[in-house]
Amino acid sequence: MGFARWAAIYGPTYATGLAWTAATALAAAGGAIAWGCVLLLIRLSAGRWGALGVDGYVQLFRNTPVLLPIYLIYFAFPMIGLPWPAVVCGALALILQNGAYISEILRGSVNAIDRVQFDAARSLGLAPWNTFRKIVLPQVLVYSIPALGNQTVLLLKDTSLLSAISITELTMQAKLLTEQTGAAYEAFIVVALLYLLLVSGTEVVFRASHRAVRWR
Amino acid sequence: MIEIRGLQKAFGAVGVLRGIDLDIADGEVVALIGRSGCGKTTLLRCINFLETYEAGEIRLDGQPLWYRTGADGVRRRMGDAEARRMRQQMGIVFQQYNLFPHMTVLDNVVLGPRFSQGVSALEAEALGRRLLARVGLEGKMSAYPAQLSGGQQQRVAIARALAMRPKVLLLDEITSALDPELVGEVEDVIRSLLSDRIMLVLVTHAVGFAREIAHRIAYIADGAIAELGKPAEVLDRPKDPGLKEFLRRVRS
Repeated sequence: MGFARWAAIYGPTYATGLAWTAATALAAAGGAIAWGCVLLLIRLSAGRWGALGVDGYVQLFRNTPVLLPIYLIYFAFPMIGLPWPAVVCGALALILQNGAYISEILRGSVNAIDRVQFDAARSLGLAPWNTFRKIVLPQVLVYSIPALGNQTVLLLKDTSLLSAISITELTMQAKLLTEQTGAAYEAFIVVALLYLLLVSGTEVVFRASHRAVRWR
Repeated sequence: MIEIRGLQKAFGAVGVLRGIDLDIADGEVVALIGRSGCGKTTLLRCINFLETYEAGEIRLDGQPLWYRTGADGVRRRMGDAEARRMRQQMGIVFQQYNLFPHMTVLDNVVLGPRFSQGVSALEAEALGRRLLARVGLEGKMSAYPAQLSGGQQQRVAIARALAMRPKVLLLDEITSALDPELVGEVEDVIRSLLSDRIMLVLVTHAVGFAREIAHRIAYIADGAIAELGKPAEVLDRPKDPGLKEFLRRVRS
């Protein structure tokens, strides 16, 4: 079978898988970084109880497999009247878990900010929210770019778990093709290469954005 | 004017300021000198409340700053929002410049007016450009702090403090971290401020510069003002034995 014929038969299946994987990973990574920033803000601004709450949250998600919140949201939310589409449930679970990790990454980077900058911010009469938004967050995000890249790669690979709730992402497509054709090695090798492509692309984006920061 | 009465500050059990009384008149330049650890920097930081203090009063144009004593006689910190408003009447320049590294020179200067004082973006930028031109950095508006020399960074820091249109400028050893050949450009900027009749309080080891620009010099030892007077009196006819020794050391 020539490549053109192979691509005509199986191409759309892989393309669908690639699109779902890329789209959920992109949405979940964006959401997780935003959620991580919110958790950091709570930790820094809401006093002792805020910090304790965030600690508890982080422990909860760090010590449980991500498949658990995926199942929980997908199967339990309809029972409380929230029958969301599978992809929304899956992305939400990834956001909740990766947001926990990302808030810890960002927290580590706060220490990279020279304390004297906070003296300067206070001397300018900046309110806490403006100090967070204009001074802390921009620096913390930039210092965290390499670690955020790693976390995004992990998140990208974890989207394969969404096959468990019937999302037709790459891993699911490979499984379906194997069942149809009986040729297990072919589908899984192709899918592995496609993951490699996505991960490499992610790394290139993060590395380029780190290099693009002019003030460092 | 600034009135300081009975200011006391301790770090733990160690008394750093033991009752400071000092008045600074409008347009006056006061230099604080003394050995390291004598409390001069702490005094400066207490004035704009970067440090808390345990006793004493500071007034700016008659308004009591930082603490209020209630009807019950209990001394309480002023509310954060009010403290921020008060602080905007003062500018401080630090030894290590303390610029925000992720912002351009212009953004550093514009930040305070724009986000603390609610000045419009356009107006704040015009003010920033004017001040940067004044400190001789009109060509560096879009540079980042790391791309500048220490002297240039310190001039940005002065422009940033001036952008708040402060009544008083506090200068904390602003030339101590600079290479010797860069000291002059920063001192020139300070000289140019004298015609503004803004209050200046400077902590310095540069006794020569203090003599030149200060109306009065306070020698601080062990957290108290040991000698206070015109530069000629304090530097040429010192009475305090500690001050005599101090001057011998800084001059040799």
